[in-house]
Amino acid sequence: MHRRRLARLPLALAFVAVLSACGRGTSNPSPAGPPQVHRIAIAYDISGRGDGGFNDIAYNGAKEAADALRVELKEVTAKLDDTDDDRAERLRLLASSGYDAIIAVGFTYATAIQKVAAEFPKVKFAIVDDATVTAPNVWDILFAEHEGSFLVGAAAGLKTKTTTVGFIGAVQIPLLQKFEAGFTAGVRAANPAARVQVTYLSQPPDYSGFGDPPHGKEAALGMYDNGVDIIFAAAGGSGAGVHEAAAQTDHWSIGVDADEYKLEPVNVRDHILTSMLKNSNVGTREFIGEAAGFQFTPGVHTFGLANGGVGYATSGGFVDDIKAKLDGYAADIVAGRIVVPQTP
Amino acid sequence: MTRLRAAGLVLAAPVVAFGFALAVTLVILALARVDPLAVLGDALAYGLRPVTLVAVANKAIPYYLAGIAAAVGFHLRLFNIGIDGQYRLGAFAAAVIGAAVSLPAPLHVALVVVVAMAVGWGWAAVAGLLYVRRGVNVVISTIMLNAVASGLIAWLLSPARLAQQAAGSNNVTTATIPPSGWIPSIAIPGVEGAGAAVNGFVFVAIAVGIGYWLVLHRSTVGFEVRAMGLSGRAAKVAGIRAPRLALLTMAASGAIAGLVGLPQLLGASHRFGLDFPSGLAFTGLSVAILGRNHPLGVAFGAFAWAFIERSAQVLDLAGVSREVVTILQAVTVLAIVVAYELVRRIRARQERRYVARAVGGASGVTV
Amino acid sequence: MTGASIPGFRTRPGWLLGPVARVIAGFTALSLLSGALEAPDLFSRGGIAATLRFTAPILLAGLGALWAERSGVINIGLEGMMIAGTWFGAWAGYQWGVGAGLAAGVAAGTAFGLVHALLAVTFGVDQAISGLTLNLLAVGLTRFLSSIAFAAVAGGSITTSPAVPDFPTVSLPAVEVLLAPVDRANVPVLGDAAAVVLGLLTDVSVLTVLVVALVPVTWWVLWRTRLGLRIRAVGERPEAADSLAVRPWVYRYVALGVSGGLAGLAGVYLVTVASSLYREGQTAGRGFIGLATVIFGNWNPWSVTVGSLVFGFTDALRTRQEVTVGVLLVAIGLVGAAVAIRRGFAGDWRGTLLFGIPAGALLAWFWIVRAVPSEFVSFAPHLTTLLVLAFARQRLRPPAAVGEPFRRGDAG
Repeated sequence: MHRRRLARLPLALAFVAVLSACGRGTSNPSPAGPPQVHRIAIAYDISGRGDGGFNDIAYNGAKEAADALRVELKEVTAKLDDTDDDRAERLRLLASSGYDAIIAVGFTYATAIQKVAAEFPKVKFAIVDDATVTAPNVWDILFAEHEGSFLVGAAAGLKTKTTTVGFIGAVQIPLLQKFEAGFTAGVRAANPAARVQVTYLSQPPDYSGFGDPPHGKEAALGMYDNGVDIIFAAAGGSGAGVHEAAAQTDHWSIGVDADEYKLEPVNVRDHILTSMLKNSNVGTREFIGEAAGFQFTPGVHTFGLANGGVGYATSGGFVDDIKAKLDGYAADIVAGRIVVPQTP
Repeated sequence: MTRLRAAGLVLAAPVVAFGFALAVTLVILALARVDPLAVLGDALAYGLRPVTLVAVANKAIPYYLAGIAAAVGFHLRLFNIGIDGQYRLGAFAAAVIGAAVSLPAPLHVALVVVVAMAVGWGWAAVAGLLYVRRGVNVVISTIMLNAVASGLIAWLLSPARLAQQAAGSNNVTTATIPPSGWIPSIAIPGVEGAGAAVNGFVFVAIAVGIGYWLVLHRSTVGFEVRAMGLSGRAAKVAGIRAPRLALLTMAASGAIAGLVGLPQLLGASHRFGLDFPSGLAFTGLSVAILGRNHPLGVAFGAFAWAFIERSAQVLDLAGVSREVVTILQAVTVLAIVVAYELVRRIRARQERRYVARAVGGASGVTV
Repeated sequence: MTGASIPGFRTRPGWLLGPVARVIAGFTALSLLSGALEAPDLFSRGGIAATLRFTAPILLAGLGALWAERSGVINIGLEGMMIAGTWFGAWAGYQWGVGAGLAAGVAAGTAFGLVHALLAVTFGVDQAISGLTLNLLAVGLTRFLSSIAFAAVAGGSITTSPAVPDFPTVSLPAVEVLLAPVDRANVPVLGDAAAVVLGLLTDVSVLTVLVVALVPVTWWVLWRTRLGLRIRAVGERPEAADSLAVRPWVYRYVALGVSGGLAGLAGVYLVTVASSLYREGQTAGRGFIGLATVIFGNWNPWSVTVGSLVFGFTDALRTRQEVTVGVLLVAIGLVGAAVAIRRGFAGDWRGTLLFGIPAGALLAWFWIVRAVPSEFVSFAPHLTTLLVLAFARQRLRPPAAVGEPFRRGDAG
């Protein structure tokens, strides 16, 4: 179902682009045309863009769609001491300034969106990583991170020589525990004897774990010194430290969100076994496509293995030998033969 | 004539500060490649809308409470960085207990307030006791206790213990407090728009400000605190028991800090979750210093701080990035404190000259 | 180093009181305990090396705070100065090598220190607000600079710099050959001791060596030179110093410049040795921890070092192997129980209850849960620091006639 929508997107975008090119100068689009998107905005949570991962990827998707529509894309970022009111006010300001497709990244926006969406019924909203907002003009975008994590967990389980693998999470919050749960299940499925060491770098509301490479590195060195030979780093910016530790001690690490093999320096990337891909660009791009199209289907939109929302990376070719097995697991998950847990 | 000049100088401080801050702001905005005057005009136009002013006032309430909590400690040179842990722990406990009981409205709200204050009081008292009994400096103990509070909340705020996680949500929250434990917001007549209501907790904040002033200026404890702040040795000679006073002050600071999270808890979210605001301690400390520990000064500081943060959202839209806003905030604060200090010095010099002239003139007549 | 803080030996003969004896006793006890509890990594080569890397930036910030506060100025801006050090260290480092990074990071920290001096000394702005504001300024400024200097560079982004080269590492010759077999042989206690020596003396970054050397240098300059004497005099009695033609503002500028430079160096350490890139938010409050160590350390470089080590060691422990934090818990419980028993023999029943009940509860709880929840592990370094301070303060407290030991810095 989602794949179908994905395929439809370029068509819709092209259509809208043509329309907007023709209609330039006229203030009222023809009533028969789709509800146009004039300005797009992304509101990030505290970490914001430049994380080399999730936020950047979400931005890329929105940017692609915005460029196709030839409209402006604006970014704003939250602060640590923001209340729901602050977030609502931020969205309100955007909505009242002519932004008619607004993407809020992060579950902290849930309460604010619920409120503001009702005040601006003509504006289309999307919230990423939350499925609790119900309104006729809101998309709830969820990613099945546990499914992707299962696959890289299986890869780790198949590749480990010490039957001990590690998981390093940035901050102990449910969102990241989904990664942990999927990873652990994947490891167990592929290698029932394997043990998983788990650690988180910080506890909420201390979000320093997302941007503290020194702690990431030392946590990884600690695991490598104690029998772990593959570490899944679901640690945002701290992941750079984990990969560095892998390169320094000649072990494997696993990237997250983006295909980190392509981001890291040459000497480091050859130690990145694979990466758990969270294609947030697909979510943002599809949302904008619908907001600018004829049909807007509010509600929960889940992006998982089935529709390319998550996956694993093959760059470097280090998992080529087990690719068939991993794809087998993926097929089982899509078909429902394997149900991946979401909590550890 | 001199008096007129002195009065002029009192006014000059904020004017100079504001002018300087404005000049620096314009330069930075120009460096950020936007039209400074237009952007600043937009920000002011947005910030001065009645509906935004209401939002600013709401934002200022927790800042004010944090500021008063900090100010209480400042009198004894106790730098309470622990406001952060105290209010989060207080709000968390209040949320849990508030959701667990069912009481008539006024009692319910009162219970939540008392729990939050008691927890803040107790958590600050740990730092106070460590200071008084073991000589552990409050800066260290409160930094460390903040981390401990975070860990404790993280452990308790789990679906396995005192919290719950809604299906499809990545947030973990306590149960929602029933409506009898809510504080209603007050709609301001004539102000239209979404969110145009003042958080009812503003009255508690005002009461705290008045209470703070009364205790400080009309009670024995307040007198002792002020005496101690002016000269510790003299106060001790006068028989003031310093340790008792320090413990009392620290605990009082913590009790007020316990209130910081309540405007949000009682007036808006009605539950404590991962999205609860954190990191208000430093704002509180800054606001207290800006306001010179005076209840009205702190109110002004809190409002100004909130105003800058609110109006700055427009800068974000105008293409001025968040980091520039942070730079602006820092420079504005510095400009204000530097201007205050310079004007104070000029006044002191003038007064000295005035006294010298008066004394000189008098001696000339008599001899 | 944890052994140095174990209380309860006050009335023993003097020779046993020696810090060396106490370190050895504490080390032996902890080593045996970790063996008994089968907790890995309490004293391992990698763990000790990690301790050094965690300690160094905190120690630098602590020394920075020491310089500033000895001159009479509180430096809450250390975090901001460290941030400046990370950014400029990475910016110069990735383009022109580590030497340039070192110079740029230290220079940036120094510049921030001098701005603090300008505000706090010349303009007389409240020292706390000047520091707090500089922290704010550093965050904003580095983000702004990143958007100009890193965003468009390959491998960089608005929050991240490209990879920064590392300092070379050195090893004391012969240590590896002599001790590695002992470490590997897993001899109780001795194996752990060998691991500690190996961790301290092999594969150590040149920058770490420099940081360690800065401790005696700080002591020597502040306590053995005319400059140091004047800085401390200015910090104790500025009026008196002024009357002797020692201009306080000059020495406070110097001290704050050094203070900022040390914090900047801590920043350089974070982007080169502790990791190999600049990442926004990387300092993660280390400046404030450093500020705490100077109070912990009673404004004395040696004790500041001990304070940094306590934090660094516990941080390394909880970061590397969460399970081993349980050993610390048991150790704390046992020390508390020992104190309670001693108090009991001395007839101090209140003391027995005061120490005995929490210690017993702690041990009983550990017996039941067997693993410390990771939420609690996260604050192990903070709690340990607090406990060490609460216990150790008693010993450090001078006789009552000396007067108040908490002169300076009470306001921050």
